[in-house]
Amino acid sequence: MRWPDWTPEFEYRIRIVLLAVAVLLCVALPYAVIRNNADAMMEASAWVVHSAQVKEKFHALRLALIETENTVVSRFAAVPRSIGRPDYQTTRSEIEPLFAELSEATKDNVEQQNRIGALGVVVKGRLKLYDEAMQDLAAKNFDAAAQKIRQAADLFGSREYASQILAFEDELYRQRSMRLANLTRSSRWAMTGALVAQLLLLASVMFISERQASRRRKAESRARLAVERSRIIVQSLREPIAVLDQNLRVLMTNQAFGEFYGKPEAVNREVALEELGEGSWEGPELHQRLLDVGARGRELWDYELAHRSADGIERIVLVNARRMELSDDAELGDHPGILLTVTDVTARKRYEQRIQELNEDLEKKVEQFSEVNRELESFSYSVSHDLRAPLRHIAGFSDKLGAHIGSAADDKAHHYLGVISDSARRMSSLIEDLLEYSRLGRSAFRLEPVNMNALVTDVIAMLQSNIEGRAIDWQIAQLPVVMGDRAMLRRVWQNLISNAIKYTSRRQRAEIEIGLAPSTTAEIVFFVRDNGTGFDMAYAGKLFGVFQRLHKASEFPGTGIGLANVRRVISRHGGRTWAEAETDKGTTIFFTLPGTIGPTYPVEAPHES
Amino acid sequence: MNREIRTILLAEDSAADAEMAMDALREAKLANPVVHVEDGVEALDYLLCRGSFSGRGKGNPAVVLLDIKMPRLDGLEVLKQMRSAEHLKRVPVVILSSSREESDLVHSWNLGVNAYVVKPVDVSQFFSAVQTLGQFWAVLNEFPQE
Repeated sequence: MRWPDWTPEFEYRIRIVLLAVAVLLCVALPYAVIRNNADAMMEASAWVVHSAQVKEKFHALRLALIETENTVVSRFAAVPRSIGRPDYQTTRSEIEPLFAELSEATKDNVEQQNRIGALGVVVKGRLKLYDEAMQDLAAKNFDAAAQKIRQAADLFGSREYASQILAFEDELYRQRSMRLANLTRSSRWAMTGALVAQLLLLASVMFISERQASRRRKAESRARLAVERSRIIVQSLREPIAVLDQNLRVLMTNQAFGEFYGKPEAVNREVALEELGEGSWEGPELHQRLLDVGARGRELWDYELAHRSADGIERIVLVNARRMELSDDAELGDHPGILLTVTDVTARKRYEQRIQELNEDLEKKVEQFSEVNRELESFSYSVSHDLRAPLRHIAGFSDKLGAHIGSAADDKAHHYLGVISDSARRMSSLIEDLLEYSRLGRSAFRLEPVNMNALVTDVIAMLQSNIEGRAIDWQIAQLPVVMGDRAMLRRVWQNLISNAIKYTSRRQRAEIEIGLAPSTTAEIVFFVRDNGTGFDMAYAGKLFGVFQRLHKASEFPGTGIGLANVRRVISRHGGRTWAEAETDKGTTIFFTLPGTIGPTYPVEAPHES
Repeated sequence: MNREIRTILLAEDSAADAEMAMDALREAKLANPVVHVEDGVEALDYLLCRGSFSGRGKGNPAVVLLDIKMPRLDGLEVLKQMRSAEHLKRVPVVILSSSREESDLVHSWNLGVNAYVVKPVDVSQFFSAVQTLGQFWAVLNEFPQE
């Protein structure tokens, strides 16, 4: 069997059972004990009385005997019969009934009965002698009479029997009185004990009931406070709230409801909902839906309505309604009401509309933009295909022409053919660079974590053929992992590092440092520093332009697209690019990427060049 | 092994490119005849033995050298139709293009091209590229019996 859970309900039951047991112990048990005691006392007291009666009868018997004897003796002595003295027959006739009574009274005691029987025999013998003495006296035979009187006293002495009977009955009386006294005493104790126990029980019942009453008072006060708090909350809510009965009559509203529908005083009388808000609540569908809420508990969820509020503004509201039990007493049966809340979403609607308009604008712009992009795409596609073919033909056929005329032409002719061919090749590589630049600007951008150290190491390994036989001191700091497009960032490092290698080619010992510069904003500043030719800072503004070169092509080859590509990639990542340089001392190219490095990350401070 | 001589089909709209390619193949001294067509439609006509090529002998070319940008039907469309025709599915196709546009590369490989070569600007490089292609596909490469 499983024990029931220890709930308050269970505790209450246990308490009732305990109380019942206590009542039984303190009231019923003493009652039974006292009742029993009282019965015993009654009986004991009856026995005491009985003993007293036996004694009394016995004494009466003896008196009768003595009197009888006296009448005989008085006769004998010729004592004149005084007035009022009983005669022999009268006294003698009293004896037998008394015997009978005594015998009856001592029925309960065999011993006493035996003694009384013996006494009866003696008394009978004596009475017989007295009778004979009386006859003798009547016959004036005084001697015989005297003899018989003597014989009666000698033969039938009754004193011994009488004293035995009396002593026995006295003993009985004593014992019975003692028993009665004992019973009286114990009964007094039992009553006192019962009284004490009952007083204790009463006190504890009073204590418990007082405690429960105090608890109930506290709980009631708490409930009152809670109700008051909820009322204040409901009243101070800015959402209009109303409670309706099943017939859509307003039972209660909060302040916001009153303000919204122009009835600032709380509605006390039961107004119909339609009377509020100048027709805002009319309309058969809403009506039916609200009635359904009350009748079937079907919730009304975000029902949108256009309302004119008290300040005359057209508002969009969402109406929510649910069934709510109004009756305090569940036993009184169902008494459902409707809790109605109104949410003003006018501002939200307005914003939503604005957002939608903006979105439409944006979509149009995106459309235009992608149109432009498509055109750009097809432009670069056609450049890629159509512009290069003629260049290839110019280069190809000038080469073939050179081979064809061979030694027939002079050096000058060959030189001209060489210039044509070189120019075509150069134009081809310019187109190639431009196409790449354009591609970096429009190709899809895929963000992923990129380990910059790994990328730098890769790029240097890839450029190994360019640095064969060169003495380069590489100083590469610990670089962070950034979020970016790996292929594009590879392009950045490739351009910057190959530039550094290129512009230090005239140094005996090239020093190339790759590191991080301190930053106060939420960006990571990378730099590549070399001790190469550098440039005049006056032209620094041109450095990142397309096909902008600060050196002669004869000194350092290149088209001047590299840094333009770097700037484009970094811009697309949301970063910045700039350069610091000094002619013949070296160049430092900086670029930033959005993000921060953890404080524990080792950052090598760049030293001034 | 009795091996039939397959043709090399060159689809190229630019006369200059075609001339250089033909010169290069001629210099490679291959036994395979070179057929030059000037656009995609002609290329398909040749491959499917129809139109002006309805009378040609049976057999697929050893390799199709295909330019992308051509009048009427471009190279990618020709490639697509070849790959969906049962008897042209396995014919080797090499795209020979001026451009290295990423979209072209992706498209070509998705359609199952066998090689994609960007025409070098330098004439000697151009020659050696075309000759290498001819040597590889017409001489080294083996086909299953049809």
